[in-house]
Amino acid sequence: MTKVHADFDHNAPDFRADPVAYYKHLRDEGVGKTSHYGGLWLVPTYEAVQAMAHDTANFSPAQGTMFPPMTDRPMLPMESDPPLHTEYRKILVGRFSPKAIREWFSPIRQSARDLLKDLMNFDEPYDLSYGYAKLLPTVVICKMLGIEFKAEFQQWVEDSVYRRISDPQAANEANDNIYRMFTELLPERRARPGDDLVSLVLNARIDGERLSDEVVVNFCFFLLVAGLDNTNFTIRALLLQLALDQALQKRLIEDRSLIDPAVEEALRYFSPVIALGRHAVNDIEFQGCPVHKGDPAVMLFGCANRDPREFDEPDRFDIDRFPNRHVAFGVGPHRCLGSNLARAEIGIAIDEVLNVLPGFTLAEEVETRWDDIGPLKVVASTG
Amino acid sequence: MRVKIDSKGCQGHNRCVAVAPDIFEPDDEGLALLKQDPIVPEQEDPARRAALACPERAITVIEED
Repeated sequence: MTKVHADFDHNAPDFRADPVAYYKHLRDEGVGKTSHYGGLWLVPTYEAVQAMAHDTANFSPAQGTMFPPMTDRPMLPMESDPPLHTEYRKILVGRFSPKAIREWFSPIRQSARDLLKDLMNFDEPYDLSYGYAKLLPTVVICKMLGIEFKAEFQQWVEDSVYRRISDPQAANEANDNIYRMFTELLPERRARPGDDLVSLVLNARIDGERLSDEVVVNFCFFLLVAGLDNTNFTIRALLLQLALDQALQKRLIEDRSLIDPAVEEALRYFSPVIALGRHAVNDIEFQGCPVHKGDPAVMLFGCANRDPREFDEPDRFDIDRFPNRHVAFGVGPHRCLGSNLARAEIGIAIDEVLNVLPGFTLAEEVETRWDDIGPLKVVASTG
Repeated sequence: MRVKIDSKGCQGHNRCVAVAPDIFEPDDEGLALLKQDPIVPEQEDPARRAALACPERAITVIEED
């Protein structure tokens, strides 16, 4: 057992403050085990992440994918196995396809404009972090779920998503409140179904049978929280990158078709989901390591996305990078269902800031910390 | 030139559509569909780039004389 692996904790403040500093060591040591989280296997290289994500016969997400868990109920459809997983995913896939998400471009843009307009009511500097990057994904998913965006609700989301590590008790209480909210919503949605996602799951049938209320609520919970902190983080990180690199910002202002590759590179470079887990369902030798049935493992997406065996100059932010086969959304059958929505939200969020604040610069020094999505105060360019 | 999509391998990343929109389009579930087969000569380079861009390595280009 090697030094970095044996005591490595992907939630430790030192790692979260600067994960990239650990990545080379982690990759050099390859797959290995840490003493934390019941002996967690670390999967740090691009090749090993690809291998584990595709090996659904030996590695399952059904017993939990997050360490520590975000909730004690399964996050569906992700935390389930085929063939049920395939059926679960089928319910949602048509609503998250590129074609379906295109229908949301205009509402997303309108929400982005409204949030920016609200921000502009205040004097500079404008905090694009809380009032924009953080709120946009929540506002949009509420519209998709057909639920009202309330202050109380925003607090639950805040506690559930952002205090999972620092205040688990507050996070658990918030989870209970979110589960209760969806449970109480079901009778009403059953009586008057709409074209929202809650109604869609409620009316779905697998082999002719409807899902139980408990399963429907598990879907709703994950639909709500799955894309919040990570989309927020990527929007904020890319805005920061553009504030610091005025030449790049100018390129994007002049050629908006470059926003898409910039979003892809931000997904690779900042890897909002640092780690996502599996459990071994068989004894298996994986990348030369003796993995036992029941062992937990995490795929370190962020680390894999800086692997020099896949990416030239991986620590360089380069929107012209080709190919950019990052694993920020995972790969294989459990790959992020909401990726088209996330890409749309990030791209539109950036586009709208470039419209309203072209040439924006930082009002004060900030750093990109992976554990704390703090303020991002910017001022409009005077040039 | 011909292009083959491994339908079991495709997971709907849509990178091929981003790189070569004249060759690929997403179906209703977001999986890749071919819009042309064989590939017209001026689309051969985009076809090769699309194969390279796929994170699932689900696209094969078959070069023909």
